[in-house]
Amino acid sequence: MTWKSVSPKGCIYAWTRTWHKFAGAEAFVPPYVSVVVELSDAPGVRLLGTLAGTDGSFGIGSPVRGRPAAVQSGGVAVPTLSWELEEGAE
Amino acid sequence: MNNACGAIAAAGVGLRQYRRGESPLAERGVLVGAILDACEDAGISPEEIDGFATYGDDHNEPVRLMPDLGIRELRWASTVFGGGGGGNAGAIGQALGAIMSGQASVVVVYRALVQGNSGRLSGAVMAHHLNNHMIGAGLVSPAQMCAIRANRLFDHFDVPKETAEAVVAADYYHGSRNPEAVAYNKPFDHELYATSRWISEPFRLLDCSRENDGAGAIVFVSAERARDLRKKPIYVLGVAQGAAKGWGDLLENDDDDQYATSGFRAVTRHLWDMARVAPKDIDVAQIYENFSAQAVSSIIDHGFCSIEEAGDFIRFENLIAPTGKLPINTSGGNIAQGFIHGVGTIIESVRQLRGESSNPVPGARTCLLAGGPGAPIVSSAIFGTEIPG
Repeated sequence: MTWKSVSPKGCIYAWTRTWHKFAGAEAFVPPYVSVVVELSDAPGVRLLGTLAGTDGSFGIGSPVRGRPAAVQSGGVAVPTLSWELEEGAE
Repeated sequence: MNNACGAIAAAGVGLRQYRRGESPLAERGVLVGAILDACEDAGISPEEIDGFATYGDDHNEPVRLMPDLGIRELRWASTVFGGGGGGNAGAIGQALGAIMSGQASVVVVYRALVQGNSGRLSGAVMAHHLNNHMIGAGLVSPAQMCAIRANRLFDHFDVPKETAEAVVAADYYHGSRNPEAVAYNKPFDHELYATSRWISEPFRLLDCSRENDGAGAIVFVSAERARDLRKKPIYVLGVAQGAAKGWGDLLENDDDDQYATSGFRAVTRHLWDMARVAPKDIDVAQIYENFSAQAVSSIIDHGFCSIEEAGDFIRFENLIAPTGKLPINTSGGNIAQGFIHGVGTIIESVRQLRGESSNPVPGARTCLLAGGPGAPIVSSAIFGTEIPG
């Protein structure tokens, strides 16, 4: 088995917009959108992250592109993916 | 034909519930009180208890309960894995195993939760799930994990969101008529529901169970013994716990055809087989709702309707006692009776079949207890007033 690079592109599989200030999510300013993204290059495989810029209309199936980011949690930087809606997408 | 169907029966129940932070006793004291209530209800001396089964990371080790209860000999002590309520019916299965195999004779299934001792339940549950993928995505609570799947159920499978509201409305309808419920005498309507604050979309506050302090206990004995006790025996007809392949992933990579379910695929076939009944034979159901949408998918998982039929079937008038096709959560459930990690739904199953519910379903002979949905391990049980031939 070998590692294979895939592009950070996919479609939103599921999502929620969080309004409540939950303990443990102090790095996030509500409301924020969390997404589960199915990768275009690896069908059936999903990654998590947040969706940047929540004003646009989006939903399950919306194409997104991710870039590496980090979130401060408990004094350490936790790596994550920040997803953005693809240009021209609904 | 199996001989587990109807081998044990619930003989006594005890429930002590308080507002969160207002328990008059520490957790163990509340639990001992609930167990004594259950023994009194059954007509069994507490010193006869020789077994315990619990779930959801309960902090009260059975051996610590022995002095307060005067127990002579402890022969069985077990818990169902997992931090959520997915094990509440599974604990009944452990009582069944203990009693049928002769390893114990009087087994108490229990769950106690007093915040001052055990902290917030949501944090304890999430301790089983949290990893950097989730923390980095801002997903840190059971509400969010259930919300994200609820949106898949609603938006991808086109199950109407009104089904979740119907569950909440039925809970409040029953809770408002139950003097023990947090929602007793409280009003509920669409306006109140639709204007309660957002927690994590699609969930508003009223879609969410809110923790109470308290404890619940149910005494189980063999069917033979139960027939000689104070109350009518409520038999355990079927019980099952488990997880199917493709369920229980920690990175939201569950199989596509299970992702928007509540995870009961693994247990329902075994449950119906053991109980020798089918969904059409169920008169009333206690459907664990940590969150409203998970009750919807639980109803679908248990075969009361298909995902396509959910909008037609899961409507308020179908869900209320005494006339609904499937009255659910007749005490008010976790959302409107109170939430001690789902132990109240076991107790209402027994009370309903005894005719002791605040919202009786006349002539009810079978009750489904659907355990905590969406947990990595889920479980369900079926109770009956008689044993099917």
